[in-house]
Amino acid sequence: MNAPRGTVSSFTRTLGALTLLGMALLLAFALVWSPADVVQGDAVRLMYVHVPTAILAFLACGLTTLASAMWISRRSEGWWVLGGAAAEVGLVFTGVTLVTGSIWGRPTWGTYWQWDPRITSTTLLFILLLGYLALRRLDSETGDAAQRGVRAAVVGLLLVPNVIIVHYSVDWWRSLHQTATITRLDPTIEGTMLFTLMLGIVVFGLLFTWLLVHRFRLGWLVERLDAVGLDAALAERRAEAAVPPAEVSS
Amino acid sequence: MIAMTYGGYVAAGWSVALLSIGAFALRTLRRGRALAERVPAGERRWT
Repeated sequence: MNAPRGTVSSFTRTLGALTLLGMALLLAFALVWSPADVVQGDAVRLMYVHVPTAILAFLACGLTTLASAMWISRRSEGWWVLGGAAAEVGLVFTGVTLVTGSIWGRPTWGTYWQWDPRITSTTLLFILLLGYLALRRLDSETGDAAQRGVRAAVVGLLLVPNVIIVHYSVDWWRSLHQTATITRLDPTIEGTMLFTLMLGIVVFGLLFTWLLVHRFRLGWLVERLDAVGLDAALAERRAEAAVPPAEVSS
Repeated sequence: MIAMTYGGYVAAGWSVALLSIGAFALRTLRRGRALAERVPAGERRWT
């Protein structure tokens, strides 16, 4: 039998190698080959990490909401594990988005933090993800796993509405953030800058997929281990119950 | 490092991002390796 390789497979190895190559290329474009911005100078190079991580954080929230809805309707282990995996990866990407945005804000807006609608709603997204993950771990009063799952799933369902608020916050309220840049028909950036941004989305997308697959498998292992432990405990109880009282007392 | 305006901010932003995601990846891989030793091989569908 092969030694356990954890969550690694030939698929994740290939994906990991592609991600590393892509990241090297992205770093070259983002830090060297793409031009500095006329207004922001080289601070614009933070866009190539901030925007992709933000987009993938939203994708993770979408997956968590989908998994929550599917878990409520089907109660299957796969959706439960996917919800946890997507939320955890999403939490990391949302955290990175907030920190890189804050660092980018200092040279461009003159401040690390503002109660700007987009920053505030993204922070709320981070808190919701934390809450979702906490509720998954929190035992209910009755120890009922389904009740715990429903509570977490309800919070999971709130993620996508919040992502919509984050996206449209710049249109609905006055914001330091600019309005849509790349999702419009005539993007307001072009050339090497646009290419680098797209490359960033693809490369961080590969990294996101690689992380999600590993985290999903890890969650699967945790569930299997719980099941094995439960089976062993049940077998132990049955064995105890099968022993005649006389033998027990002697 | 190539001279750039706001070089410190750019370096800090990229470092935080790559180190955070890298640390999360490493933790996930290590936990997976440790757990896989305790789970029957048949349950690891990807191996």
